[in-house]
Amino acid sequence: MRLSILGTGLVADFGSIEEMVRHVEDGLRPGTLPRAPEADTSPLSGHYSPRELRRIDHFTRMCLLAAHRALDVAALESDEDMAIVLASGYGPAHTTFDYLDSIIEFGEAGASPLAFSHSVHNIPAATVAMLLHLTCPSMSLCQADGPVWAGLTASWTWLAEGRARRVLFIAADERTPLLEDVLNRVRPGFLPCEGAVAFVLGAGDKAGYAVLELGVAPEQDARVVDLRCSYGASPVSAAFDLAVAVELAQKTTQPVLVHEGGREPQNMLVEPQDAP
Amino acid sequence: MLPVFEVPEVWSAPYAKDGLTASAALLLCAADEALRRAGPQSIAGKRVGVVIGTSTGASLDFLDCYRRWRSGGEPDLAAIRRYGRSNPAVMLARRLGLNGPALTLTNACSSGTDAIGLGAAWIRLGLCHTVLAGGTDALNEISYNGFARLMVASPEPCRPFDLKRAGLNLGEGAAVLVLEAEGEARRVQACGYILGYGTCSDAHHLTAPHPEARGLRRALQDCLDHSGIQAGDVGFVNVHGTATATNDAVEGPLLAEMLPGIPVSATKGFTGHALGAAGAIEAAFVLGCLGRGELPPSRGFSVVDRAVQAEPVRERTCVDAQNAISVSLAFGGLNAALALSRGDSPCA
Repeated sequence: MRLSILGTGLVADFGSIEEMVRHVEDGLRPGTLPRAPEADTSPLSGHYSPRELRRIDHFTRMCLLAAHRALDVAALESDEDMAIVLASGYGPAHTTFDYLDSIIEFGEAGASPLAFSHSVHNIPAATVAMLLHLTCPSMSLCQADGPVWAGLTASWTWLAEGRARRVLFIAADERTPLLEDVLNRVRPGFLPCEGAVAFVLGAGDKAGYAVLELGVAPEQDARVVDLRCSYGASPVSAAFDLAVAVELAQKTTQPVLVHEGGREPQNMLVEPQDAP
Repeated sequence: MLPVFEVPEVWSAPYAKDGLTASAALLLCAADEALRRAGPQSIAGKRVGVVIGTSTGASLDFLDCYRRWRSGGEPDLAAIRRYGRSNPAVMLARRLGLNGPALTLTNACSSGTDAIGLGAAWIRLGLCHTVLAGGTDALNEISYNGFARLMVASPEPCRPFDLKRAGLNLGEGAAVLVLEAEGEARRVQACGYILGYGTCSDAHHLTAPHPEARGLRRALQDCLDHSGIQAGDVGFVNVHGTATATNDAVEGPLLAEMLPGIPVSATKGFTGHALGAAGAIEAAFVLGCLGRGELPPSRGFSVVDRAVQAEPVRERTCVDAQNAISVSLAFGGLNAALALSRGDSPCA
């Protein structure tokens, strides 16, 4: 399975793609990345009015900003023939807990219908579709085991069967106090990170910044990027690694390998291409 | 609010003892049944994918655990671990030792239909020899309360497409289809075929469908195009038919326009709305109806709503149909349509 990568965008609490690439070039030192309290989505105000953003939750804002950054890199208009695939380990966790908060605080009769509707897992992708004016195929998937591989497989499927000319693939997860507490109890000292990364994908070897080959053998002669020790835990960490790998492959003109663990561990090879 | 349906027996009880969520237990129950019909050779030694649609089955809705943690107590790690091992597609792939892709699809109420559409593509593209595709969702107080607070739940039995419809009833369940390439499936006499699938989001509103069914129109047309059939080849259509004011008012006119004069079946009067499982359950119904050559009465429908335009069958109705379409709409303005064809033997 091969995909061309036409654009990449990242928003995260641990920095930008460029910062991560510098971190790799300086030599990895576990746990040394400074962490913001949350991923900064304020640049969305350059795209939307406060009124348009007022009911959009943090998870969705991360997705939307990452999507804009990827589309900018790909130099695409938002109304292209493009599908959306959004992969996550836990979905919009904050809105789920907001809804539970409303039940606990106000009782069943006073629970928030807005929080409920926004906690439904396909609402972030639907919001991205609405704001980018994409009347298109859209898929959300939620699993802590192998979400990036699953999302890329779905993206490849839609491109291969001609359901769309391009896929906007987004991988995202957010920190919540409960998840942080649980992770700290299960694995002390290992903090979760949060962020969203978006890729504009095309079929096969179309001109793009890089070609992504899914399911390659692990013994590939390629540099390996695995930054989980630096930015912390996230079900979609392989997608963060992938964003860094694309930049590194471009910069060094060498292939870069990314690994995603889980039930069926998978390797993804990024091969550089000339920029379109 | 009292339950509209009485459930005399917990079908999934034998599976619930393994420390799984109710949605995962329902899925195991359905998968076991499907694999008994298909036979062990469907998965033995093959690359087998799993794609399961769900809504509540992937949601962090452990209310008691959260309440306790929020009040300063320690989080109930058992509840969190139960959630962690119950992700529907991953759980099923692990249990059966499968080696293909596993994907838990969370497209709200169209999830089950989307899962079957994606699974069929994995077969068609040669990614898998076999795919277990379906949906699962268990009722819980979180989603039940959410729909009640959105004022779309009816305290009475639901009335899909009816003039006096007053909202949906939630239901629960699971359905799994064992998908194989046509040549492979002949080995056990396929009980049906997936012809094609279409999906499209409205990009209009988060909880209401586009008034002119923009996304549904494209999803249905894509489904027909991918299937290589035309409206005249469709013997009947299984509607989403939630019995909410807006869903039925958008879905009915579009179907009347694109599939004119074709018999309509609405089944949520029997099952309630099983959310992420609904599309898969109704795909199984469609295959059953194609095999038996008849449609059940559309329970709850009696009075025509001229605004809805489409009129579900009121009585048990004979249909000599080769092909049928099942339609799903969802939160987020998602729409999906699946075209199915009669198999070589009845499903059950």
